Amino acid sequence: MSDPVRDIVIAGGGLAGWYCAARLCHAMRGRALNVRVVRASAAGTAVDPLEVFCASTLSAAPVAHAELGIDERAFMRDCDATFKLATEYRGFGEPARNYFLPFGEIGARLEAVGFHQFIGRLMHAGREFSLDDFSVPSIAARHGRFAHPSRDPRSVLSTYEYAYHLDPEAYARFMRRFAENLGAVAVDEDLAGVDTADGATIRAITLADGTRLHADLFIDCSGARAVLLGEALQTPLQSWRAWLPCDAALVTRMPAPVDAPSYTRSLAQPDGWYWQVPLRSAVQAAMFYDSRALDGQTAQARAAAIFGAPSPGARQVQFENGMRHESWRGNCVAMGSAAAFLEPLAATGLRLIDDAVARLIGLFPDSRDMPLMAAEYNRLARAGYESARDFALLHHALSRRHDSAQSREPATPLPPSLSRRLELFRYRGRVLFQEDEIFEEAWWACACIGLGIRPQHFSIVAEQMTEDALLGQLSKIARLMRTAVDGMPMHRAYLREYLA
Amino acid sequence: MAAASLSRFLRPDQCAIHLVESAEIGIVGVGEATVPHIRFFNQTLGLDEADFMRKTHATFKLGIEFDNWGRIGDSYVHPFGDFGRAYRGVKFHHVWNRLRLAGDDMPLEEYSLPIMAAKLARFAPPTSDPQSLLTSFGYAFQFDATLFAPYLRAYSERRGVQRTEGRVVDVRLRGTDGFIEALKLASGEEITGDLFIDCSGFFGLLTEKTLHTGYEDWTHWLPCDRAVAVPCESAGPLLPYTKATAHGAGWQWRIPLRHRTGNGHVYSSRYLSDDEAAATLLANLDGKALAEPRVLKFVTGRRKKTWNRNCVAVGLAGGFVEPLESTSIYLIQAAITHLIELFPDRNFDAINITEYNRIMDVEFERVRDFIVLHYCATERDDTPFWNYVRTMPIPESLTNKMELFRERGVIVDYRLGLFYEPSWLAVYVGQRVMPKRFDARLDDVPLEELRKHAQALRAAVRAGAESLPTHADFLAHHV
Repeated sequence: MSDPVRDIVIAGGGLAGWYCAARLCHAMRGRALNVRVVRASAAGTAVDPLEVFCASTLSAAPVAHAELGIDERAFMRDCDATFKLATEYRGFGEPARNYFLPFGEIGARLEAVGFHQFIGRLMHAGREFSLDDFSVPSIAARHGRFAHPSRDPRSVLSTYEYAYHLDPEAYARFMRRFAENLGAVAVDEDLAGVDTADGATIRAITLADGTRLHADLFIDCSGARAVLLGEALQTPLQSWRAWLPCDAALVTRMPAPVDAPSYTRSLAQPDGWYWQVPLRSAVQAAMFYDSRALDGQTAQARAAAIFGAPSPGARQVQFENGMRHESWRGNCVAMGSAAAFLEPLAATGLRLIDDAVARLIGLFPDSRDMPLMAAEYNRLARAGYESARDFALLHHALSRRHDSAQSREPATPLPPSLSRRLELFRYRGRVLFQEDEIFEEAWWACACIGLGIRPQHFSIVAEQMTEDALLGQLSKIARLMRTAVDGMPMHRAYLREYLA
Repeated sequence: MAAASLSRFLRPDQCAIHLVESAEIGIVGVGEATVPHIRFFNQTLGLDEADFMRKTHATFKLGIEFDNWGRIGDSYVHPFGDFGRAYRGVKFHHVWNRLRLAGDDMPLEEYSLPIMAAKLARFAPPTSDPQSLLTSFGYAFQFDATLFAPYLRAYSERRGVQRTEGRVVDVRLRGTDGFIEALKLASGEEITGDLFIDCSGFFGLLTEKTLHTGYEDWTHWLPCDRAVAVPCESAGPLLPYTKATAHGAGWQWRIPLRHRTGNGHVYSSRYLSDDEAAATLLANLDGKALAEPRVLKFVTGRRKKTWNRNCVAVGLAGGFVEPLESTSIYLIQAAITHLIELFPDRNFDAINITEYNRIMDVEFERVRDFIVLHYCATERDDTPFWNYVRTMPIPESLTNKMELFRERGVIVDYRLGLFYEPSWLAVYVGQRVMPKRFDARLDDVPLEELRKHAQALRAAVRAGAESLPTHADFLAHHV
């Protein structure tokens, strides 16, 4: 016989925990499910670093909200949110290079190959192009504009999506209210111990007041320590530090600029990188660095220089890029940093949590098929986490050779998945296809071109048009997009009106 | 297909295409049924659908009916389209399964518009209104492959492909690296080239006889190794689907064309003689046979490298999986599409060839696993053939997929390669791989609510199917 999973204990009352509770309770509405969210701030447990870096999201966020039936205006007011159309990468690849990674189509479908192949052909002939000029969201981001996409599929304004910038702490509270309305129960007590059966499954967790909580399924959202999955069930961490050496960030809030940018800024630095996420009332800023290369004082000084105006209370957040060997072991699934942490260079923070919950919902177990579901979950989780890692690593890998501090160290060979990808793109602008990865072909192409890769060859299909005809097409597309963007309101004005 | 596609994508001043064929070597006419991807191929070439259908005596195809596969007497259709509609984000088959486990034994096929239309011999192309169930399907064609070839030949020659009639008697290789340099014809003519595409069939004139590429044999998973084919007169209404009837040591296809019906019996020579196979075929025709039965021999499997040196093997030269799911033409199409995407220069860089072979391996293996499912998911124990396939070891990739479905109705999805969720669902359920449980989100949803959801869909599917014209009428008016 199989017993349904009825009791869930989520260890960790931060954003990961409450986001998970909200999505689970919503998916399982109409089904008896007891979800308890334990605060779980055990002594020595720092805040989950992944949650801090959920401030910049990907376009899956509005999709998830629509599914949950969240009112966009209410959410944006509560969470100090702005709209996001793209991420800007400045100084990656080469110091003078910058590019936008937009939420939307790039160019137009001219033939049965990616648009970047046509650009590749022209670059091969010695012309320089920026893909930024062929994307509505990139152009709009550059000009500080925003409007919701058009629903008319014939309009060029239907060719993009958007995401949010948000205040993670406010968002955690928002999701907590949402989950509590659906019946999730907050347990305001610290975690004191975990009781396992032979270290293979979790029997119960003990709270500081002595209460024992039993459950059918435990969800570990306790942050990087992974108190359940890592410490109790001994699931080791697979560190990515050799590839992604940053292990600390100085985080601060700066005054909001007047022009309300509709994009996140990422700026390459000698020993790391710098991040700016524009919220409505402030800018969330962070400097990511390798604490072995930069001591605390130097880091603070450098941060102060970058942050400009005196930035009181820049707090240090420590982390390690990497993932647990398995995200699900026995009756315990981990989410947030307890499963994997990746610095937010590709704005994947919330997306990784969202994917993890969606996977759990799709493979929701009962007492009998727990191992089967876990195996499938782990297969998908690994593919997802590693593709996100490769995307972030791509930016560092292509920057490293220009980087004085790191070029002195012998570089660790890239993961085979990424080196094959790079090799193939350098060769002919082809994006390696991998199942269950989280980014689309166009994103990889955009990043590779944006980072300065000039493929040696390009698709023969892109050669069929004469160069003049192609140039004519391209300038038509760019003009059409530019004109459409000129008709869009300024992001700042749009926000003011939308949230009035 | 290769010449037509390449002539469409390559400028004549860039690349000269030369096709060598011999009338002495016949066309293996087993690829008469297709999957919906063929429409993309036709569209890319800019072919007019009605003209193409007229010239190849084509009919529309909504799916394949499988008889006697799970058990003798069983029948199901693998449709080109979805089953039902999701209930609050939960895939429909879980709703169906929950009702089934509660005792409501409503056939899954009543929730599929293409199946219901096929059974009524009705057809119209899908509409574009996303609200309507009439968008929930696709279609393919059943056509005469021996007429499709000349049709594409005319297209190719219009676009500058040079065609030479002649038999290849020798192949000249470059001394330094064993690349193919030229084909020598019986006439004494020599044809040189940079890239050679081997479309010579099972024989693999270039890839195997010349380059000795090697073949990965899949007979242990797919033991059928022969087919006997015969056309017959049409009988009854013109059906918009192909039929595959399992016999004692293989299965029989029936493909309705406009002017006749194509038939064939695919079997394993280990368990059945050619004469017995032909007799079974002739005893199971809808109408009078129009020719003598013809026997074809094959080995299921795949060339170890479908691209080797400067030779790309396309079609049967590249590999063969029996035509149970009409994949032969799809695999040709895939081989050409990927070749165009990875079209080489004279350096023939290894990185390009490796990528091509990797992608084609996945294409072949996806098809293989799906075909193997038809054999291993059976309860038949009436012949040694079925006893073998029922108990044979199967690829691990398939075992895992089947277990996830059997335990909980989870269908493992992928993006690269053929056959998506509804296809796997149709065959699982059609062959009695029934999920023991369903998506947990439905645990406590009142049965009445699910019944209402299902009943509404069933009624809409039926009404939608009945609103379509008959297949014969649609063909008469639109083709």
